[in-house]
Amino acid sequence: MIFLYRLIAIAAVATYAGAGLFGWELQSEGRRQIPTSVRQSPGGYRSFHFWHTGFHGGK
Amino acid sequence: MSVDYNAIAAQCPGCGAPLEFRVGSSRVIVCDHCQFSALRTDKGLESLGKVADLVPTGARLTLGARGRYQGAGFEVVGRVQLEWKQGVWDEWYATFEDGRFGWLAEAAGHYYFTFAISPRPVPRFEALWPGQKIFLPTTGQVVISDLKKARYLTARGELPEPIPVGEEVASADVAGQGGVFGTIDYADDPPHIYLGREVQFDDLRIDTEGLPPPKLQKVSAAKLICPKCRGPLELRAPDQTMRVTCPHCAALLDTAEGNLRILAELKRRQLAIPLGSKGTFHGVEYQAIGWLERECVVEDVSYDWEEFLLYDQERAAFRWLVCSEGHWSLVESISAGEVEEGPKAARYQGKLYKAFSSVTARVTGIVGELYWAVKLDESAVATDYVRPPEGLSCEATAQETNWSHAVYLSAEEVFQAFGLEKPESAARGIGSMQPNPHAKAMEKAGPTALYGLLAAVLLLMIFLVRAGEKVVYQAQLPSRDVAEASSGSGDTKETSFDTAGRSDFHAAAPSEPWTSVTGFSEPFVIENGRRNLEIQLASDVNNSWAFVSGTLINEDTGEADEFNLESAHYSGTDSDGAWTENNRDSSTFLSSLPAGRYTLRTEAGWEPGKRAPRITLTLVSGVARIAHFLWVALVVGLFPFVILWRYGAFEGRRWEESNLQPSSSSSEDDE
Repeated sequence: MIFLYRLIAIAAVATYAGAGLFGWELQSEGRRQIPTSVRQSPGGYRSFHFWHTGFHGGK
Repeated sequence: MSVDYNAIAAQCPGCGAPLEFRVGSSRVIVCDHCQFSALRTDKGLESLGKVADLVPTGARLTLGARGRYQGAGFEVVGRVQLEWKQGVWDEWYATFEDGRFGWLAEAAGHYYFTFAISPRPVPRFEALWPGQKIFLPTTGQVVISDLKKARYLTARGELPEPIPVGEEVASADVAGQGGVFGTIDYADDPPHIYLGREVQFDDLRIDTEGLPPPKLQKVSAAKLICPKCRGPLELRAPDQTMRVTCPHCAALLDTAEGNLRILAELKRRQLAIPLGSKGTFHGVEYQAIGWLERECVVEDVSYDWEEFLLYDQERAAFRWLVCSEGHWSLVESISAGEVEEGPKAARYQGKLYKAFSSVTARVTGIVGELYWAVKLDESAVATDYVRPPEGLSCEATAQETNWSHAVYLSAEEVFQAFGLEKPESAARGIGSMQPNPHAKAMEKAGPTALYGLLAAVLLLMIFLVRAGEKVVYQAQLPSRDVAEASSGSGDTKETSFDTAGRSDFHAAAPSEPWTSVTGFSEPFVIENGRRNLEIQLASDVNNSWAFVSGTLINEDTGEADEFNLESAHYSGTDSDGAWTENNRDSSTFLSSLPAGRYTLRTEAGWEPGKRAPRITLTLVSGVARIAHFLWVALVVGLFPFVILWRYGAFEGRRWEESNLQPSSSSSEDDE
């Protein structure tokens, strides 16, 4: 148990050090390649996964 | 018969046997043959009469034994026996090769070497009390460990002075730090003071080669018959026992001088460890020879516990095995001088023990053999101090203060040591000395947590210093043109605006619940690579919402990072008053972007039929993340925190049983 805790603690600090040094972000949504032809085509590229429901609250 | 004072050889005035004074300072000698004692005077040997037989005490020393103390050799040449209410002990007269002489006391497996010092003013015997601290020369502060009146019984060998056989003399034993021990002997005025140390038998390097072994009086079972039921008795420590109970009728018997005398009739007891059982603790074999039940009353509640007397026959020493509510401890007596006692704690061998309880303990049951003249209802004030798994106990009466040191044992350890099967009944509650089961985890996890958090703090400081936050891009979305184009639009139409030559406006179609503008930014440069990028969104939406869905495209590599941000704000009033919900500002982070030229594609959307909101999008490179530090602190600190909480809960339950803890005393005060 203690060994596991130590392992986790070391991993957490090491990850934090890596994140600070290299700018890692856990919440980042990933990186992908977009072909030049698509990039240079107006309207040819749209965000592919965000879909807004239109409702944001209100009491 | 005349003997020259300086002569070393003479004849016994009783039987005529040759006597030899081997020590120049000796003035008294006891004849080995007839037990007549004689005093050497300038007129010759003067008969002092016959002395009594020795009382068996199980002494390990013997006349003629040689040993070493503090680098000097000595020889045991005389022996005196004294008796007090707790039993008989031996004082051995030892002469050193350097001309000194001292007294080596042997009592119940303890040894004390003392030497006479010149008389000094000391308090009167009547002015002393056990536990009192007094100052003595050469040793400094000492504590009175016991006050007693003892009677000289008999003597053997050579002695420096005649002993007043049968006479009762008062004395006070003192103890100090570092094993200091002393006796103030009030036989004369001014009192004689003897100072020295408690010593270990093995440290004396006693050599008895060529000498007869010490005479241990082994009383056979046949010799002892219970005077009440006529049943046979066997004494397991015949030289030490002063009280024994009959195993057949439970009568409490006085064993003085080998004759049994009925003192009381007691209840029969069934003991968890049968007397006579042998068990090994810390490499030493002990035999259970006696048992006591003791009781105390706290706030009208009676608590009882058991104490087994263990006998180490090889060393003629005793230990106690105490069981309270199923929690066991092995107890050893220690010198009162070794303990520094305070109102809330006591210090022993550099360790601090917290005061736990103070009760009046009363003897309510006796079984087997005991080395002092115990009786029912005998009581003492017992104060316990704890430092789990160890403890100290101070038992004080009007005559003496006894300190003992205890070590907690599990029931498994105890019954395994005796080769007995552990009873079904489990320990109740938490023992005062019971080790906290979370202590080891605390010890192990604590440094990891400390160093982990320190490392995280250090890293945070480094990151804050080197962060170098820089705004690499900022834009208003949608552009003014589009905003105007969209205002009041309820139609489906498209228009273009130019941020990077490519943009379009998309009003809500009946199937789409928003109006949006898509555009591309002019290329911009991120100079410092391998830094994170924070994308901040701020808007002026009011009782509405907006979003930005974006893609940051590396113009050099074609790699794209996507993000989505929302903004909403609702407010109003109701019966509870004014309210607001949601947040106009939001942000997200992109991971470790390489340096290079970037283009940002954005799709800004808002509620159909509403005015286009003013959205500000800001891209900041190299942001120090406090949130990451907090996450690390949580991960590193959570486990120790849970252990600490459980450790504290255990200690809380332990100290609920204390009647000296601050909370209980304050509640008593309140009452």
